[in-house]
Amino acid sequence: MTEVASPEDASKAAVQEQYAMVVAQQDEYGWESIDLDIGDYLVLFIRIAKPEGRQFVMRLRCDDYPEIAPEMRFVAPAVFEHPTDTVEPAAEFYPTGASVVEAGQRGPLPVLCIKGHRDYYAGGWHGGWTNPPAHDHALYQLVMNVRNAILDRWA
Amino acid sequence: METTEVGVAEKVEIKLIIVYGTNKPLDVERAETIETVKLGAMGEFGIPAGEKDQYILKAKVDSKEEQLDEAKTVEHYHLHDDQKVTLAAGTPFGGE
Repeated sequence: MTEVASPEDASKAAVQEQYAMVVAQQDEYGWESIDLDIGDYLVLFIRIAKPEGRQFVMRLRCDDYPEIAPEMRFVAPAVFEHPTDTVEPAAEFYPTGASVVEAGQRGPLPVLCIKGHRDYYAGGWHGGWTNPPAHDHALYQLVMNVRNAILDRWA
Repeated sequence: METTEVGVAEKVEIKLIIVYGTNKPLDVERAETIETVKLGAMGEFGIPAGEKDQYILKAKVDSKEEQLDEAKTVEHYHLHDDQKVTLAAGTPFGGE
């Protein structure tokens, strides 16, 4: 008898497929990554450093991926050493610059106007999220896009 | 019998490594435009050619990563055998 994967396991498998690509390219692009299985879903932490020194740690909460896009938050860089899902994000940990909506405009935290994360599509702000996600909206591409923007566009 | 040294002509075709989550080799000619290379790279990853305006190619040129101009050629950038070239979304930001 064939065992049917639970929705949670199917979601984790979809995230793992994308996360494997993130891991495979981290030496090339200079990010670091950690995955955390908290039971029902996976949480990813991606650390990206600007050459001038500022570090960013992006937390991607991948509940119900790819039905819905991952929730992206920026947390204190030190969290990367001991990551937990319960750590609180804060505006001070976000990048700043073009395509970053300031805290208070779309919620209590800044929102990055970049494809591939939940807030980008919330409330019909933008379209384009599908299941499965199109190539340019998928999780790996989100990591690449944020990395490129941190290096080229954001402070 | 006298022997003469024969110069090795520069290869017309080279193999680039296209990076888009995974790495895939792509044979290109030095005279090809970057746009042609991009379409070839998209094809390797099953991305329809109709989405070409949503993607760019980036590579290290003189040790600095930069977006490649699609009107220029492989030769122009001195791309070489086994060089990694990144296929990335060109317009990931809303409203652009």
